[in-house]
Amino acid sequence: MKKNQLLGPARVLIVVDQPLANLVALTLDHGKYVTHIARDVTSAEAELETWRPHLLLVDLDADDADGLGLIGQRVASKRVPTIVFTVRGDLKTKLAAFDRGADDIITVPFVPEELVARTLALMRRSYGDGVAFIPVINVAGLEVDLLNQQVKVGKLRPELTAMEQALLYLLASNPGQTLGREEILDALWGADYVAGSNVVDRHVRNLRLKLKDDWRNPRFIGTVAGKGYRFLATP
Amino acid sequence: MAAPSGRTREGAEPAQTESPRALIVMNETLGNLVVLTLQHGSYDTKRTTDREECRDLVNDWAPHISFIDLDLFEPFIDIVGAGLTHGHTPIVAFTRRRDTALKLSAYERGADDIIEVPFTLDEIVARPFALMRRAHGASVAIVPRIKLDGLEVDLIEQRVTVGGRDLHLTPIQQTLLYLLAANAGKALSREDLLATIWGGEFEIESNVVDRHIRELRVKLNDEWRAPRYIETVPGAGYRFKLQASLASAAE
Repeated sequence: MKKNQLLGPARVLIVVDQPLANLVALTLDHGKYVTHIARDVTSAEAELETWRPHLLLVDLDADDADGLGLIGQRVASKRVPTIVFTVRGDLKTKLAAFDRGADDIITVPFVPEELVARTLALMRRSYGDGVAFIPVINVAGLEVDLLNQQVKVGKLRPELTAMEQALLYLLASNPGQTLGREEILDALWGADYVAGSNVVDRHVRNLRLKLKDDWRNPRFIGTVAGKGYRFLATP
Repeated sequence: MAAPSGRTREGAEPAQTESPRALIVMNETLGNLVVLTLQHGSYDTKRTTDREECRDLVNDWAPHISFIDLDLFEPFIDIVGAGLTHGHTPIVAFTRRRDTALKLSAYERGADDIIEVPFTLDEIVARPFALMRRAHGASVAIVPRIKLDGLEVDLIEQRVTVGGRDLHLTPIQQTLLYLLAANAGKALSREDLLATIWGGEFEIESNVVDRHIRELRVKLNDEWRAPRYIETVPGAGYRFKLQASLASAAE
């Protein structure tokens, strides 16, 4: 099979609910992509026609329940490579997705590194040389290195754990918006963590320490009393 | 079951009814879990960590798919890949490391998919299902329900029942149960359980193993002083009690 080469940045259509969609779009800055986020399946179908994406990312657990129908859609008679997102443990959905021709599955919760590796691998499989990998990106004014899992803060380069990095990306990709603890827990840890666990607060605390962010006078992560956390817009 | 493409040796092509063959390159604890879970796809399994034996198995037994622990047995990717003369054998690599460079290079060297620790059991069934189809055009028959002694497990409905009673296990609890049952009769240390299920770099609360064992016992109605399923072995960890009907299943 002849592989079609990519000329410019690869177009990626993201059919995922917020706040996860913004996290996905930000994480894809680690490759040469341009991204669009579609609100629902209907607008995704329209975008397939008009924007002709090279890669489709579909959350099967999104509110709009018809995501399965998007798998294996054709653009100009070529199948669009598709990665689906689904919660972990759901074998039935995974088999149905593969049955319909999904190329890969990412289990939610995921860490940025996994999304980067799976999309790059699929792009290479589908388009020959594939997409360039960009290890260091700018996240809201912070330089983040995915390969070495470090963030540049002044002269320091503290290492971030995978979960701290995921938390930073989630918050920074939704600047100005308050994300509740439960919302963060669902997006990053999934259902196996019991409600009432302080895992989110602990990770926010550690992340703030590494970013030298004073909780009383934060530059990055603000606390919204009784609600959750909010990433402050880029200074 | 279709044959792997490119196989020419006479008599080596699997018949329609033959089980797909899966080669497992992992240490015993994790390997047993994978072997048990692959019962949901009716696979024939062989496990090795010996290079010579691996070479022989690739040549003579001609697996349809291989599972390799990338963190411990990385060179085996090339050994299994060298079986290319017999057509492509898809490789599923396992890793505990969140390392993009390692993963991209694994994909480049011939890994077809990567399962990250911590994983849930459905991954070990769903990803090979897709690979068997892509590489061999074969549709693996899924066996949703298997029996572990008095326990009946339904992976599709995500249900474990005892005498018809649904235990409502979470995916992690189910993985823990499989891991213990797959290594029945052998005590697994907390470190073993942590490394196999949660992986080294995943942050977890330190008592996570004990907490999950306790919850699992409650759901199993297992009395810790006189357990039917999960025993505490002082100083050694936890052990699934070897039961006659289970010995064969977990072999």
